[in-house]
Amino acid sequence: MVIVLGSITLVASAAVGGIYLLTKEPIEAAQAKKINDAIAQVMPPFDNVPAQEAFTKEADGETVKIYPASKEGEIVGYAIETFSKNGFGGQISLMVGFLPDGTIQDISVISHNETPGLGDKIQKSKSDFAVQFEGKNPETFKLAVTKDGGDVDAITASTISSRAFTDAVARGYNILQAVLKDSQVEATSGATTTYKEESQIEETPKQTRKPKKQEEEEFEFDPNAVKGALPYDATAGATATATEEHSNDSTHNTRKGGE
Amino acid sequence: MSKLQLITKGLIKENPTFVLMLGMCPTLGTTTSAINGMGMGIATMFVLIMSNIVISLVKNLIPAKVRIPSFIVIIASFVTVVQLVMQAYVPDLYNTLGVFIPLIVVNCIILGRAEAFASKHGPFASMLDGLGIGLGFTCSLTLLGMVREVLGSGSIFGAKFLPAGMDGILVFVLAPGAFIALGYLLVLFNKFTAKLR
Amino acid sequence: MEYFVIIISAIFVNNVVLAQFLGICPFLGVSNKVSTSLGMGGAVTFVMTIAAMVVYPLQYGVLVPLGIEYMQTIVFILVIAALVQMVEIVLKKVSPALYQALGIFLPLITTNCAVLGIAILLVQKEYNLAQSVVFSASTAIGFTVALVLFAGLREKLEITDVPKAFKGVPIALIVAGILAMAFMGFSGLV
Repeated sequence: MVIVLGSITLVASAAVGGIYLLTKEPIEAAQAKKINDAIAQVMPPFDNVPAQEAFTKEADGETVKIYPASKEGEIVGYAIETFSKNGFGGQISLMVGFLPDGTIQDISVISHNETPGLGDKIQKSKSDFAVQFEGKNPETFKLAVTKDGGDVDAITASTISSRAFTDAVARGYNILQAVLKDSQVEATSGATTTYKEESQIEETPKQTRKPKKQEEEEFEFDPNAVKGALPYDATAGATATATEEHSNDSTHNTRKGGE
Repeated sequence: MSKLQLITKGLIKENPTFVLMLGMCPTLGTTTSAINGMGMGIATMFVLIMSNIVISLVKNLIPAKVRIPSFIVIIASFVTVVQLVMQAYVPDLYNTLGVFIPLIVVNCIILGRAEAFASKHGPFASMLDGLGIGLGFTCSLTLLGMVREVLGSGSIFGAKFLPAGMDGILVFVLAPGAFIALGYLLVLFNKFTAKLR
Repeated sequence: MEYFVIIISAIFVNNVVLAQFLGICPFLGVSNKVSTSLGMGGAVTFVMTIAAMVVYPLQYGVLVPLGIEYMQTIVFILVIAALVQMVEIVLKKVSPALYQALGIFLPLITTNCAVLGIAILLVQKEYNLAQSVVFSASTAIGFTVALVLFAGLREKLEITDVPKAFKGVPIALIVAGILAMAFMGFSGLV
């Protein structure tokens, strides 16, 4: 009896192990393709293989990968694979493309678990939310949702997702600052690996985040948005079912963004 | 029962979703769009057919006492195979369906068919049975996904038919919409089959 | 604070049944009476909490060091099935009263996808041991809350005159949808 069960388990495990070996390469290829596609999307034309020149940096206890893109030996930008753990459904991973002067070229969502129909509008295919970052330099474009005093118009009814997305972009920008500083040090001193301390990452730009519990909500019903006041709202009509009472400041902010 | 009946019974008479009410978690959880529902249905169908075949082949070797654990091991292996293959070739769908792919293993339909059919019939009949029930499951999931997608996002299989700037009734893509859409579909199904009888 | 957020979000905001669609079978199956749904909820809470304690060392002590994370599904389901058996045996010996109350529900739990689902989610969310246990326990409490609320509604439904085609499961599903909508109101909490 035990022998039969044992041998079934053994055979099954062996078979699964075999399949694992067979699919290992395609799985890795699929993941690599996803990263490469994201890099190609967020970077201006380049002629190197960023994935081969990738390096890592520590940020908030996690390792973040940076893919430098160059054309004819000249750096044209950095694609930074950044993340935020504050999404509504958990982690959001982004590929953010920065030009060497810090301007955001484009952003691609690598993975997320946001609610379909609400938070998943962070994807470019679902709404224009991510488009507002393009061509903006975080030096002048404050990376925080309008509700927190920044310049980012949040997705209606998905403040948490918008905030997490913005948080991830800001993290990417901080890392970029650290990378740029490193490369300057490199250029002047000629040393190759004088990485500055990680403390810089925390510095710029300070994000104003109010305490969490105070005013985070996923469903905020903005009556103005129903009329299509915002370019990327559109869902608000249906979210009427999701109750919302708080509002005052948020309604104003979103309205301002739309009109 | 004829071979053809084995395949067609899953569609209406023994439809796993509308009649047997089995496997409700993936039915509600993955049908935010027609394509997701279909993907989930096909993944389940594959596991169902394969486990049915294997179980009907080894049924005489397994002592009664360890029958259920053995079945679970066999089913879990095929689920893992599906997980690996999906990760390799349809990573996006795999990410969307998420936790519901490994959860195929506890889908009552599969263990139920193993117990009720595969452990009593030959491999060929078991395969047809798996195919029939799997098709029924896939059709129900695709249908529910389609209804929710049409109402909720105003699109069908990803192709949007509403004019730009207009959106569907969002609640149908969210959790409550799953319950309500399935409830009403069930009402229609009951009406329809009551007439047939 | 961090634990408080986990607890509230697991019970109300991301309710395992009404928002994540795990454990629908018992939700529809054993929710005819409030008393049975309490028993089922108790049994699930018991098993789920223990499962979290077992799954964590299994994932980080065995699967990851050996590099066989892909065996997760097989290993987890077997362990949960064995665990349920063990809980049943131990409970019978140690606390016959508790066994009387929860006993008949235990065999049903092996195929309750909420238990396996939560075990997999724990790993996905990269929780540590303490967070895992808190998360599982509160998820199970959320399951119980939903089940008991729903059972209360169904007891009322029993004596209500609904159109024939709606009788039974269809009306129950629609009521569950309205309940899920009510739970969406908790979204603002975390």
